[in-house]
Amino acid sequence: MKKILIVEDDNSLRAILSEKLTRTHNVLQAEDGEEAINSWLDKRPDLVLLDLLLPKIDGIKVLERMRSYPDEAISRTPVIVFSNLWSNKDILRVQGLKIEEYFIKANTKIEDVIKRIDEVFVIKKTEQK
Amino acid sequence: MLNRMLVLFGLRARQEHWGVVYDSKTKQSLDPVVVKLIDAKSGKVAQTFITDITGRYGFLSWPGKYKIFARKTNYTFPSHLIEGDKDSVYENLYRGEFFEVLGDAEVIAFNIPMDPQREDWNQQEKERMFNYSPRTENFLRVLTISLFWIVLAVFIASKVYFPFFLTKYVLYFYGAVILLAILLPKNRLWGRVVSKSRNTSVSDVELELSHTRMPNIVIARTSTIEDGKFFMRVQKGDYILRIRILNLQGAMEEVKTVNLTVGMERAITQDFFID
Repeated sequence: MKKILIVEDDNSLRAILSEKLTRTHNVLQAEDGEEAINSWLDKRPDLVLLDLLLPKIDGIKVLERMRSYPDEAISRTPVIVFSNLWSNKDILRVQGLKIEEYFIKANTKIEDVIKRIDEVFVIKKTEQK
Repeated sequence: MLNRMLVLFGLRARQEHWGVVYDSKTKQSLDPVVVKLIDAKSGKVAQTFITDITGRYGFLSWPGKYKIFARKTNYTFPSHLIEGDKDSVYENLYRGEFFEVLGDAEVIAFNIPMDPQREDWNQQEKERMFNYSPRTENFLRVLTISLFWIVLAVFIASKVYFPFFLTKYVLYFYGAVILLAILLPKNRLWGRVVSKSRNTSVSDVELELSHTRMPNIVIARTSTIEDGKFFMRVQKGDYILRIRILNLQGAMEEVKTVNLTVGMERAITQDFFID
């Protein structure tokens, strides 16, 4: 099973995402930016579902740090952003950090996020071949 | 615009394209809140929505009996702190009761108070970032409504006791505004996709919205229900709307791309015609 790291500070939303993904994936969880970095480095997830507004270290900084990490297995981990920030400024800033998708929480069904996660795994598998 | 003026003068209830989930103590909007629309008959979740950064949500739903459930860390629902139909700037409150949608499919958008249980980091951070004050907004609203009626009372008194040339015109203005409040139809809260050739509404059409400056990032997705209606809230700005339907091969195919500008209404409420 693929490992997915869910980075979300709201427990209720994290629980809902985790519940949906646990059926088909190995789910890791982080509730702030610091925990996200530690988990990303230690557990090496196959994909990260990342909120941007996070305690301690915000999501954009987490992404910047991980993208500049020397080990490519870590720096090239696929990331799907799942955030309620949707100004042009936020999206453009994140887009430059090579993400697979930017989902706005309020405008996205959780089922679409899960569908996209599976699509990313299929694309990555095809690329590896 | 006219609707906004009538709301400003207190002649029409505020009718928005969304409801707001808010903190019953601070009156600040809450995000993210998972809001579920539950069908009373089956007990199943009909739709799930996550509030946006300003606490807004909305469901476009068929006629039927429903209830809403809201869930957020550090908050409880339904609220036991708020009673009555109005609370500060919030009207049309919801506290967990069953309700019915009658007639056609309509947008469900109650304002939902939630009671805080402990401090919430996300809320504090958002209040710091956005600095929105519902109490000030409410004060200004009460002030505007009061001024509207006080000026009317003054000019009625003027007409009786000391008429002058302006009195008549001001009273005509008031008459026109009140007449407008009675006659002006309500804003439409949804958009629709219509088949030009068959002249019927089209269901199961997918709609994807992107900023014109970031055409490869989809910022909102929705699909039409049985009568071709859809519900899509957005911020003010310029957008690209892509309309897709299921083709004969069973794949979604883009049939129309529309450039559009969204203004104060902050929702897409037009009809879109496809072949």
